[in-house]
Amino acid sequence: MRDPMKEIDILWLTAGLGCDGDTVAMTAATHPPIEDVLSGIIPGLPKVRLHNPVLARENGDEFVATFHRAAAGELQPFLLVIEGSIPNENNKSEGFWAGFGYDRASGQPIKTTDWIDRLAPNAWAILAVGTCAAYGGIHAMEGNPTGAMGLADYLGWKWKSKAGIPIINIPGCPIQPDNLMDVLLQLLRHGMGTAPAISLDAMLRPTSIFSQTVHENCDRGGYYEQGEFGETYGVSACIVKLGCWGPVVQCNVGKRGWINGVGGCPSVGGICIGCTMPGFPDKFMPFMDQPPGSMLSSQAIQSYGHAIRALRAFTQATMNREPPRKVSQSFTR
Amino acid sequence: MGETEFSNQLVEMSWDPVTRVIGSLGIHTKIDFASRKVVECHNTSSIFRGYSVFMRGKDPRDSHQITSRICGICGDNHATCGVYAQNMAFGVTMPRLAEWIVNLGEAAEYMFDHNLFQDNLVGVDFCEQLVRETNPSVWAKAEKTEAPHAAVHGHPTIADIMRALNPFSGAFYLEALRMSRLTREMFCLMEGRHAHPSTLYPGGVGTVPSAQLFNDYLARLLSYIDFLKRSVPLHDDLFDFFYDALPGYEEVGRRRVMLGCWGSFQNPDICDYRYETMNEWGREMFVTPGIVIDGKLITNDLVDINLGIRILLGSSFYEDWETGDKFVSHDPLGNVVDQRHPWNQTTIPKPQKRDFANNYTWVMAPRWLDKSSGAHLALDSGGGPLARFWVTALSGKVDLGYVKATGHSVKINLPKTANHGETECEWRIPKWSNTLERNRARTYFQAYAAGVALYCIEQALKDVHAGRTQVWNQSKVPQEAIGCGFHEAVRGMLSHHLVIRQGRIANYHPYPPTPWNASGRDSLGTPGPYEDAVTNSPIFEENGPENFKGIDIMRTVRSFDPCLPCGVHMYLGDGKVLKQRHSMMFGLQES
Repeated sequence: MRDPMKEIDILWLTAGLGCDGDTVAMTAATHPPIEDVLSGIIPGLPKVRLHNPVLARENGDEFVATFHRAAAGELQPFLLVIEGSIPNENNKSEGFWAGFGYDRASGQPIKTTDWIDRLAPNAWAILAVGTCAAYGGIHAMEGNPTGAMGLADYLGWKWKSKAGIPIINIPGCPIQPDNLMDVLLQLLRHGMGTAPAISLDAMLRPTSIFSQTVHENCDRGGYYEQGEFGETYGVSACIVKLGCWGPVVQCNVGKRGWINGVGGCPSVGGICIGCTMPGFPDKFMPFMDQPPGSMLSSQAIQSYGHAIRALRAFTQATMNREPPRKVSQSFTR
Repeated sequence: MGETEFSNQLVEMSWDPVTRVIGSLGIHTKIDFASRKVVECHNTSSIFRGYSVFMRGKDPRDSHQITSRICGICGDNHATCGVYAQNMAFGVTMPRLAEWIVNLGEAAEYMFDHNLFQDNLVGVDFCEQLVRETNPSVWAKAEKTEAPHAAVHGHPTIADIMRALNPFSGAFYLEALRMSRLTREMFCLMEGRHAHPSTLYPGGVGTVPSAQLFNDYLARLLSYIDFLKRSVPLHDDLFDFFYDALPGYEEVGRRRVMLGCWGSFQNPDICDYRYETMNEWGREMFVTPGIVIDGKLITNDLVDINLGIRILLGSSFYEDWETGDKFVSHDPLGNVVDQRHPWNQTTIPKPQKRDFANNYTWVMAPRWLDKSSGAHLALDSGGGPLARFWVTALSGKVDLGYVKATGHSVKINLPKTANHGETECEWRIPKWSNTLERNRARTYFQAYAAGVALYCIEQALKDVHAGRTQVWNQSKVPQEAIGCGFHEAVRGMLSHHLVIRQGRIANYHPYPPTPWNASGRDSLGTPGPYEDAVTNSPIFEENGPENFKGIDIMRTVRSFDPCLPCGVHMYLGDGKVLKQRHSMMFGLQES
């Protein structure tokens, strides 16, 4: 865009195969909270109008009208947000897996895939929020009847918007609330011409958020290094043997927490089940078994860990004693 | 177009999707504007995801992680209920401290979810903008009506309350939104992540317990209780005003009292998760399970509740399973289990066109077979809190100090907080099961959950200080087993039924409140609760068909706290349609 964007509509479609969990997560964001974006108090952003069915004052046709206008090319620019996985509507003879609104002439629901077909060509950019929209997620689990897939599987991984922006995936089941806000703010600043395009990896994730693993930021990482592994839940040691996939999962929750810095997965005591990853869930199940790859690494770290722990225990004990205090001669009698 | 032109005419009107609910909900109604009544309606849901299909063959220990994903606002209720079902199937109990942690997580969920739904979704239907658009005379009256509890909540008139509820600008709307984050922080302290928790497991939790953990929760809880001391009287003033300003408003959304509650908050000293003792430990829950019909308590027994559940095919897009596999012929007590019970249900989706004369929904119809009358009752949850309170109050079993059931009411005692002294509030059994009472109970239940949380923190701290910090019991997945979990999702009764064969999930059927509330006509022709509550409901909106908002219908549907991670469409059936209008587009579309 040459001119800075003055205003933008966000059209948020929750009608994929989803649970509205990403919309609910959006209401949990604190840095910044969504109301601060909408009220225009954050400097340097365009005016933002949000059209999300969970928060909209409008109802029924009045709500859907915006989506029809956007599909007809009468609303510019708009950011399309897709939540939920995309069903394969061609794997059955009739009927529908997912719809939003309904068609006046036929009385049938308008399929979610039809909405994507109509809206994507006119969108300034598209965000796929949550692992379902990004990669298929839970509803694409082995044995599913709906043929569920991610948005890039549906539109094509090389798809670009008319403004030249690829699909941006924000995985997470659901999304970490402030991850959404970080992406949204940079995207809007990009629209204003004050920030570069968002750097994405091959799986279309923002590199600023998804380059590091859970393990790299884990507050149990020190236990791992010392070869201390929990055999039961509810302890402070590393829980990789209980099924934690943190060492290979790309996610920033270990560092950022869940809401306002509070919560998380291993930091609170839960195993990482890989919910941000394209391979989720099938490649991580059964969740409560030790990841095969960690058997070697956790074994290998044992001897090093035990030695280092012994050395540290020695130093620690030394440091726990007060130093001998020599009193200055001039003050003694 | 004058009103007389509509006499004796039914106008078909639709709202699709209904916003400000979880999931996309649509409503098609037929309204008689001459008598100002909704005449008839049907439900249908427009999204199918297939949990019961893709869970087959999976490791049973994963079931709560999977079922949490059913719902993005109360996923933890599913995870909790799924863990309860696994505990029964695996024959494992949870350490005491783990039960306090789960109870505290669930209490935070009730506080968060009821708060967000009430004041950021439902509340908008009562805000200045919508009341002015739909009932100018009510707005005029609200401006002149002093709020009885103004001194406590700080809003001098009812109109001031309504102004405070305006979306994204009203002071109370914004405060509620902020508060919903505080309660979600409380949730995350106990269960890691919202809405899909990271620390729940069969046999307990992974949460590392410490005095600090519970102090972190307590500090936030006290802030929230301070807020509740304004929120409860504010909502009382608002809802009481509607009865006063619109005589007859008690008929809006009113249906026969047929409420079900499956119980919440385990008492760890009693609960052993065995089916054989389920009636005993069910009765000790801090929200009592039970069924109330026409104001009378029918049962408190979870075994009765369990055996009476029937899943009718109704008008849904599935193959019948009458001749399918019988997974469970008898329960562990030797009682016969029906083929239409969730343990024996087989889900085979059959997508098809929506046909209102035949099948039109993805929602099956759960009903409860009342043995005394032989009727398949279309129980509702009253949006959750109404049934929980009604059953708990009548049962008179709960007494935790902070909360106490009296037989006709529930008393809640909240301690001194930063800006308010010690406060007692009392929820009394109302005269009706209607729109306003479903909503009123939603605010009171936040106070109830806060009271239970105070008790659980005290108990948890006792355990921590005594060094009892174990939070997880190891268990093994048996080759063959069955289990069931009973719980209260935020918006009502929740059950999970699990069958294990060869160490894998052979059958899994969750029944959340929304299928109960939002089911369509069942196989016997009985309409589901939304349909029932909307049908024959009077219309108080002052607008004619030209600019009709359907506010009374919207208030009714939202009072049930619809949580459809799938759509529901209400359709007005077979009557002759003389005129068809679409909301907001009047004059543009005619059929």
